[in-house]
Amino acid sequence: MASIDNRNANTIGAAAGHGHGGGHHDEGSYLSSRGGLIATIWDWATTIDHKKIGVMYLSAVLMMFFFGGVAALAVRTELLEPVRNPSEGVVTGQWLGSFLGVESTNIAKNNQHYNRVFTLHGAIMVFMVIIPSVPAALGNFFIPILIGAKDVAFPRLNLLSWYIYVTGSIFGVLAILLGGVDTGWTFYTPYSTTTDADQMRVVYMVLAAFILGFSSILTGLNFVVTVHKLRAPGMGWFDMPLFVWAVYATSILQVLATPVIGITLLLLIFERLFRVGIFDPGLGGDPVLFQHFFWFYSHPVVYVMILPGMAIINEIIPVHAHKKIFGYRSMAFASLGIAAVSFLVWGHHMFTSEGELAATVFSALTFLVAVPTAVKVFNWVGTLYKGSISMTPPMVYALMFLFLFTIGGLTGLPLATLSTDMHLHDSYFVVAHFHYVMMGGTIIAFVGGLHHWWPKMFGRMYNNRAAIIFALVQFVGFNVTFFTQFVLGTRGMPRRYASYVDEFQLLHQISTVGSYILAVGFTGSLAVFVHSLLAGKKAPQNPWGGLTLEWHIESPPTTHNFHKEPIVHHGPYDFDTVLPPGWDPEDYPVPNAREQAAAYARAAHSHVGHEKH
Amino acid sequence: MTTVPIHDAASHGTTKKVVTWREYKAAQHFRNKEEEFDGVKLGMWLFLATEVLLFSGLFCAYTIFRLLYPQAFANGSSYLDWRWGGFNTVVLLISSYTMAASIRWVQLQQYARAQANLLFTIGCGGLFVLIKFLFEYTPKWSGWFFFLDPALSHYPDSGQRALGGLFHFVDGYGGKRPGELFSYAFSSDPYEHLWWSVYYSATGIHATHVLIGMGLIFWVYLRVRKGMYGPTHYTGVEMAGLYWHLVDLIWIFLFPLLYLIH
Amino acid sequence: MSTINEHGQAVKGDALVIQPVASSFDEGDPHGFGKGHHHGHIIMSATTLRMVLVVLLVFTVATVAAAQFEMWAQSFFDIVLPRWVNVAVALSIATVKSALVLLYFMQLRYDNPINTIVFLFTLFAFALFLGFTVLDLGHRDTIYSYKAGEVTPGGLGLNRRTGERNEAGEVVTETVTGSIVAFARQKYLERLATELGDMELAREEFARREAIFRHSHGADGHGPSVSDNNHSRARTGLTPDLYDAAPAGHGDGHGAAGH
Repeated sequence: MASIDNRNANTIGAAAGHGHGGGHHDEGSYLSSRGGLIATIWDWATTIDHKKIGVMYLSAVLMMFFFGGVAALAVRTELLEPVRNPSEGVVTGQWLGSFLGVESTNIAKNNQHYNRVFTLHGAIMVFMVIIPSVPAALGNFFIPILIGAKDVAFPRLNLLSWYIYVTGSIFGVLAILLGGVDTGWTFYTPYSTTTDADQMRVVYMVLAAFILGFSSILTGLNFVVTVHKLRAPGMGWFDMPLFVWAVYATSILQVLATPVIGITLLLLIFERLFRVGIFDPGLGGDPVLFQHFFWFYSHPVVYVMILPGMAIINEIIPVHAHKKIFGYRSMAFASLGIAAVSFLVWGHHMFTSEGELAATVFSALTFLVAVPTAVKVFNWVGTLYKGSISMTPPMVYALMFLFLFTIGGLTGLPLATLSTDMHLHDSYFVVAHFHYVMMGGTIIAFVGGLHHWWPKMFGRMYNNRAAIIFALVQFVGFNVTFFTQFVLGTRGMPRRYASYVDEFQLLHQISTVGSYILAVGFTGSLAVFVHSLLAGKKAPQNPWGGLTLEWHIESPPTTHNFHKEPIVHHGPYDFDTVLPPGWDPEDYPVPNAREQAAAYARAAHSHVGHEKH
Repeated sequence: MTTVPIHDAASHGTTKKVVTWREYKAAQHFRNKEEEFDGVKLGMWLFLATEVLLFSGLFCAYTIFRLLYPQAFANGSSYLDWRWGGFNTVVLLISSYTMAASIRWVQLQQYARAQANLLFTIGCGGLFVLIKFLFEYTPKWSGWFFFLDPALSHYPDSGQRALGGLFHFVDGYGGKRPGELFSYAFSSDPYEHLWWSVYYSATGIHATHVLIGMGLIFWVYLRVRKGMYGPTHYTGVEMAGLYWHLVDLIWIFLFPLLYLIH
Repeated sequence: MSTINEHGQAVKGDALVIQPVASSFDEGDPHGFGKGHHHGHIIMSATTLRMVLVVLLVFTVATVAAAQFEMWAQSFFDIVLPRWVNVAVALSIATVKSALVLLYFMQLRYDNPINTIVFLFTLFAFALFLGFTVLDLGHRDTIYSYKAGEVTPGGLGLNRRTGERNEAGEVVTETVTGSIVAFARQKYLERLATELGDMELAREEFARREAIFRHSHGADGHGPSVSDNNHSRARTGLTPDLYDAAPAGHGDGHGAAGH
């Protein structure tokens, strides 16, 4: 027993107190460059270090987020004014046309520009931003560290999936450069089989989604094996951080659902190139079959998008409330439960196109989703209750997430109800609902997670006050943009239209202004990060006082993460019994840091060095 | 990756020495090579899961269209010759056996036998694809029969030849193609082109998997020849084997569903 | 799970299991976390492998024989088996065969149970996918019966690409109204008419060739069989009222009449 404790002290101590070395070989931070510019680029391009791959994903995802965001602003700008008579000088899509360099006063042509731009926005945001954002970028960086491993199970496969992601994105960009695609991100047949029939762009875009699916599968597969095989000694399944649990559930979804979109898109490519007729009513095929194929993947993928968001909130809330998470096991099982239920409910995307029997069954099953989701929300609130909350930027994002995601979740209920959905289907209500979930949920959590782990990833602190201000700007902008869309939707504004009747104009204009505020907020966050990289204070090992394994090592981590294989003695959220490693309350003065530290010290006095509880 | 450069005195240069199974150590982030083997195998099974679900789309399309248009599927199936399908099933089953046997021979360090079994497996895969293309796809798609095809005797000879008499043309037999390309004149159900869509998609994607599997097995064969595998390290052979068995598994279902329904 | 054979080796079923020697206390793994996760290396016995192959081949013969027997019974004795019998027999045999491949060739029987769990989850996902899709597309008319109707048998028609391009480089298309199957008949008949120079001769020739391809179904493995309203079988005749023996006139034979 003594030897184990020594080992523990050694591991933690080496990381906490003495920084580098500690008797082991002298490793630098994973970021330290080796050689000149070319050597550094080559080093990054061929790296199998999960941290570098995570950072590469992060930069690719942020770049795509920028493109998708510009497309969103273009869509909102177009909707400032409804369609006018051409003689009045302003027609739908004219502004977009000039933006794309093809000016025309032909309404139909200009509407097509609009269709292309919202397809661009949807396809980029879904396939290239939200799906890889948390699992591939933050997950790659932190999953191995959180479970005490040196790397993911298959590091070369990991690098390969990054290159596959890039290849897929290139095909997507190629489709856009060739003139864009106007099928919507869902590629519904027969739109996708008939539009621009003699052009290859739709094929490129579909191929892009197909290739990106491969990347997603390989990442998911890698994480499942990593979690099964590479947990550090002492870390049983229920000693894993909840981030790992949620990403594990996500990975299972990616592995089981993505192949179906693979075959769907493959058949769609056959359909376009050879008109095989499986989905084409002209040949006796069934377009609704395509919708079933598509949503069997794309509904689970909604949870591929939101579960990692929840995963991040699982980490932020206990650390920044300095309190043990409420209902650890129920949280873990809720993640798996959401993953399981996600395979039963895809038909609620098709209430108006599928048969009544299936619609009724799917509607009833859809309400199941609310149960594990509500468990999670209650547990987060329960964790905050009587916690010692530090209003740090990550915490602000977590609270924003709670607010926005709850609205998004609750507005899902009228959409799950068959009778109300008949009215709300394909209206702005749906648009607002999924933006509250996907953007207010996942993207906000992603940015929050970035704030939470930024010091660990890059070894630099950022300006807290500025970060919080821009978070609030995003919050205001988000609600102004999308809450108005709930109102628009209930009043009958259909989605994907380039124009509208005059009485909607005020609400549309408010929404557009909101989107500009949102853009300012995100640009501000970017500026905060850039400033941090250039002039940020050096980050301490454990700025927030977290207990999970990433806070036991240096900021930024060394190439092999740990100097010695860590042995886990305490749970990830045992704030009541364990002193956070290497945390100096002076480093980062939170309101009640001293009291907290004193309480930890008292509580920890009788526990440190003993078995986990 | 698993090779380390050493100085070779004989050739006065650096050459790559192959790491044999005796020297093989696990990758640095795994605890030992048993853990690594287990992990790789789990990863492979997850990959096989994705393969099964990839084909599930085709099985789903098959089920729906057979449910909706049973007559078209019964007719479509009657154009296929169960003897070719059955022969190909036997070929794949035997190749699955030789694949499993080659793993056994590697474990027992009988490398010559292992290599022979692997080559035989590749040969079976080749035979499968050859039969598929020569005796099934080509005549049905275009009406051109390979001159050795026993079915030729049932049809009037149009006298047209191609590739120096290797292929004989039967007017009216071809055109059994998917969807828009369909041009067979003697169908009796209005949905028969959908049968061919499902048939070509399913068997085509399956045949692609056979080709990929053959490539994989060849790669493993080369590594066996270099002596990289042995009783405690045979990960590559095992994984290629799992892949090959899965391809066999898919065919076990495709064969009755496509050839034997009525 | 495994037992020890006479040579002191661990065996499970009839496969040899090589377990790495584990020390009683592993300092790097004080919780015993890494133990019990791997199941050693399995060497299948040659006899088992051969037996499995033989059984698989026997089942292959059985599934073909069952299908042939069903058809023979139907055409010879006019025993009309329910449609599901054919499917149930074929799929049951296929399931047994695939179970053998999974358990022995893919070694699931001896392997870490997690791999079996992965595979079962996959089948579960597949079952959900298939089940719900069939629930919808197979039962469109459960609540409103009119939803089962189809507009045109064989599809609504399309502009079929001929595979040629005109001088301007544009794709040449031809209009197909209704099923492409009827269209193919019409095109073939027109080709014959051009070759023979006379429509009546072409019709006769068409009927003659049709008979050849119909009756040569034996060459494709299936004997001739009859069909009725309740039973779906390979048909040598035509769907009643769908076409004439040879298409009459110009394309008016492929309507939905009486279907």
